[in-house]
Amino acid sequence: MLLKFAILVLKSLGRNKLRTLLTGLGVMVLVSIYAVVTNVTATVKRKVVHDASATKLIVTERWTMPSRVPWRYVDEIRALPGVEDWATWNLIVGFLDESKRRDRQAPYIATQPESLKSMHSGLEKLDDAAYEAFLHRKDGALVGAGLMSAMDWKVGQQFTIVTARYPSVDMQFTIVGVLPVGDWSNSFFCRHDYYMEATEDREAVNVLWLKVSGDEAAREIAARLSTEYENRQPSLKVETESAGVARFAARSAAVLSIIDGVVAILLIDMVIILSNSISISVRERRVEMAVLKVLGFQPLHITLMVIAEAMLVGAVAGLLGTALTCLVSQLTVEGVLPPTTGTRFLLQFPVPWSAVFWGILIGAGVGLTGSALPASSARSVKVSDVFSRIA
Amino acid sequence: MSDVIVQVENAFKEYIRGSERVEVLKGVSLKILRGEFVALIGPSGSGKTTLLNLIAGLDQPTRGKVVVAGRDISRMSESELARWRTTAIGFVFQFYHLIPVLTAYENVEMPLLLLNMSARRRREQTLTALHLVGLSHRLTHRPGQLSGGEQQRVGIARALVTDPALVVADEPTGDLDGRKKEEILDLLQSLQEGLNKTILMVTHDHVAAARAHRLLRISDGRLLEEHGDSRDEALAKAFPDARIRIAQ
Repeated sequence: MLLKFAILVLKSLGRNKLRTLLTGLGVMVLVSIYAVVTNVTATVKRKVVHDASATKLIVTERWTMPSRVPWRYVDEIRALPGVEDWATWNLIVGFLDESKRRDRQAPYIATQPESLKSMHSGLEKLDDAAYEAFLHRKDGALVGAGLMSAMDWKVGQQFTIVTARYPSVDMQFTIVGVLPVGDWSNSFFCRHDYYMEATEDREAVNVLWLKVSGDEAAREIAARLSTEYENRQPSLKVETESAGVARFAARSAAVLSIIDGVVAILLIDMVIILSNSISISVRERRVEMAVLKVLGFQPLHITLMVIAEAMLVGAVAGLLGTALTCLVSQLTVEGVLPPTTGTRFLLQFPVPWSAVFWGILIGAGVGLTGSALPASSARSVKVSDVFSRIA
Repeated sequence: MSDVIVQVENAFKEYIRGSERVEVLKGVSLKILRGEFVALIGPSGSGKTTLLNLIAGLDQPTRGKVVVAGRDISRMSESELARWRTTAIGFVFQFYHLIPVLTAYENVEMPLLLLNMSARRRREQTLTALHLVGLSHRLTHRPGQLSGGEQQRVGIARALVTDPALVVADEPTGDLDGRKKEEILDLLQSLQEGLNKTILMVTHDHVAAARAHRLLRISDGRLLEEHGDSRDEALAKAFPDARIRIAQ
């Protein structure tokens, strides 16, 4: 009987294919947006809570943005007892070609090749051959998979970064390898010594990263640096990576809250779309509902039928919406699809396949909620009223 | 008494329309015997369909009692009535009311889905019902692919498929032209005669009414005569302008 019931539900959905399709598409698009947006907020929150390390220190200039930490400080600080490893960052944004289009901008980082893998989470899986090449080639660049795909670059190829504002010189690089898929898909690393040579910017770095032996050492070094460099010019600010990320997160909490609000509105929107569509369908089928009641169908059967139709549309739309989003996301991250302006952010926030499961659940949940009112209306169809109107 | 399949005792039915109380049935009493073919006739708004709905368990009397196949259905809950209707009543509609997305076979099978029955037996009963109405060759056709007469045959097969004690038909020929109408009436008559089904039919049509064994005339919510008049006398009173020959 269940099978027959399911067939009836399926056939009922097929009676107005266009409406079912449009309703499904509406839910599909919204579930896709929902998947991407919640993935962004969840990733940001996860990184704050789990990924940020308490044994990695970020040293920046206290009062100036962008931060300029003098190189002489770097020499002093990296020699402190308890410092196990270090790296500096010079962060640059340049154009990938002469077009200077906004979507052809990419951030890149000049750092020490020796500590690339040890100081950057996510790069532990970097291919050994690529890393070796980076160590041995001064103008070498390790480029994210998404960027490689977007620019149709190949390993061994040379490219020029056209200056955006600073540094004032265009820089030429040779691609020596591809960064692992993940957080760095849309950026690239170059060597700090090459950066200094090309730009003549030898005096300062934007950020100094320190890896220390443990939580206690991190606190001690942070306290010592804060005291020692408080009254020097420029003065420094030191915090753990986790504290820095938490501070960033606190600043962006309002933004995340707004995004969560938008997500809630999306869900309500989905419920309204589905509810409206199912209501129209129920109104059109009042006579049919009455006939089913005459044949012996209970109000509960009618309710379940309406809810099942809505949940099916919702679940299938949720499945397709999230599956499509995941597919586009994975293909973009893996460089099969070139990132566009619309999909570029997927490189930073790839949607995992587990989202499909949630997509189905959310779609079905939206169906259940959206069909509550129409189902209630359908179950209360009074047979004698319906047929007296027809007569 | 065991031959009485429908017994209505002093049934009243009132509706509230806005602030107005409308009394549609005003103390109707009647009996229908097993195997009878009864036509319920009367002008529009006289209460025919309301009475039919009470007997079919689609509505309940405000006062009075309705007993069908030995069960008092006047006080059953909506769920109990729905369960009871599945096996006790077969309903034939004027406008067929088949489910448009289902085939003829699936439409007829529909009431059986509510019964605890094996798939094999369900199939046998569905095919038998469709065979009885002469539509064994139209199993996979949807209502839109069938003529009006064929759709009504499917409707009749659906009414018969659970082997109900009583078949009620609300203007079953109201949407059909001359030849199709005769075919449907022939079918109902043959089912009544061949399967000894009890049929209660509401009709405006003197041709359809003439096929019944007995006529019940209703006017202004009251049954005019149940005993006394012969069928021909009742027909003549109900349709005074119709010049008809009634087959004896």
